[in-house]
Amino acid sequence: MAERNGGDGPPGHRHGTLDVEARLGAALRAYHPDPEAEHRAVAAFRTARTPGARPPRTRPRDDWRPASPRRSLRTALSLALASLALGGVATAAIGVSGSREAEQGVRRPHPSTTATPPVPVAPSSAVPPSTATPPPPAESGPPAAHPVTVHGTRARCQAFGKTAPRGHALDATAWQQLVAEAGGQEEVAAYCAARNADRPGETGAGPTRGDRKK
Amino acid sequence: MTMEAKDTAGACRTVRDAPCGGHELGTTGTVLGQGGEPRSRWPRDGELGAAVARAQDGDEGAFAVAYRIVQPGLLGYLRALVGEDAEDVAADAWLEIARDLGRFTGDGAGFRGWTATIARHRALDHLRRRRTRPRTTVLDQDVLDRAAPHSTHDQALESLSTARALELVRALPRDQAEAVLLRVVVGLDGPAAARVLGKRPGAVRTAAYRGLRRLGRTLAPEPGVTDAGPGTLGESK
Repeated sequence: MAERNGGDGPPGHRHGTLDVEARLGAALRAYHPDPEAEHRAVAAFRTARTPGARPPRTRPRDDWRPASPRRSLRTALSLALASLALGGVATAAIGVSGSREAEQGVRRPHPSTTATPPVPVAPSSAVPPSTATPPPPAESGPPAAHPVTVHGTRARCQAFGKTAPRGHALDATAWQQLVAEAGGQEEVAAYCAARNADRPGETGAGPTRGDRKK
Repeated sequence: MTMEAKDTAGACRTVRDAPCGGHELGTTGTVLGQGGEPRSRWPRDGELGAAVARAQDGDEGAFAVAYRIVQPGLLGYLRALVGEDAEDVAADAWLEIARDLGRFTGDGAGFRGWTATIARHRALDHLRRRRTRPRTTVLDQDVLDRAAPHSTHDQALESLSTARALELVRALPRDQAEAVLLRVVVGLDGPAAARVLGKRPGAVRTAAYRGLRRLGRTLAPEPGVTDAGPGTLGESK
């Protein structure tokens, strides 16, 4: 119902809109009946009817029942898809925000270059994370779940070293591992440098899937 | 019977207390009404639904009733879409409506949505054939004269003539114009209008809101300066 704006005061925006609707509607629906047009329409109705014929099929476009099953099915499907999507995001968020180290890793300066994708989304291109924690949110790469090994550390350090100047492309879990092993974020660089120096000839050995470029 | 459409429009001019924003013309609720918005927003929907059902059983008189209830809104919608050929397009639409009447299932409000969809398809076909963009600029004056009953009210500042209303609506961006028309002229709620247009309800709601806001600014440019009362149309003092 239209509100009655009795006095002055702020022009009720809603009230104004209703007034516009009413005026427009009345003006546009102003109508001079055309008997001839009506006769033609009724004639069409008459000729269209074939008595005794099979009832014509109701196509989806003809179904305008209120809250028809078809419409609620669509709604149900949309809701299902939406909850799947949300569920996926929620699952993905588990690995990312699992720990402070992970968060710090996440909050690292997003190397806004194309070479290093932001940490939370990096997993696929990063080292094959040997993890005891849940697999990282891998949208493209296979979720790796290798046990903690030296090889893993080396691979992580290599990955770290390759992108260190700009940050790192290690996923949160791998980064967390390195930090734990190195004894702190600031130690990682030194730690990895030491490890790489220890095994100069083995840069390409072991599971170096982490060397995969992004 | 045939005067009803006119009377409905005229009721607002003569009956001061009848809120034109209210149920007389069926434009209840707010532009952004959500789930609480009643689906059947127009006063004759019950009658229309019953007429359609009887027509589907073969009742010719009932079909005529349905025609008279639906045609003003349909024609108003088409006039804004295709201009002077609105009557021809409407006639095409009614051929299809008559032919496919048996397929339809739904209530009165649903019938308005169904017929609006058919009319819109015919309109788009028509425009394609004519290779004309929806917003033709020239409106045949005869059409406009036939459309609105002559009235001294047209002279009053507060009133809104059909020609002017058409001019304003046709000046809107296409999506806004259609959203406004389906809501205000055909009387469809958000979901129904979205279905006719093949768009998301949110988009249609936004388009209608924007269109109405723009029209409102044109029709009532100064804040605080409104009609003598809500819903009165050019009631002369």
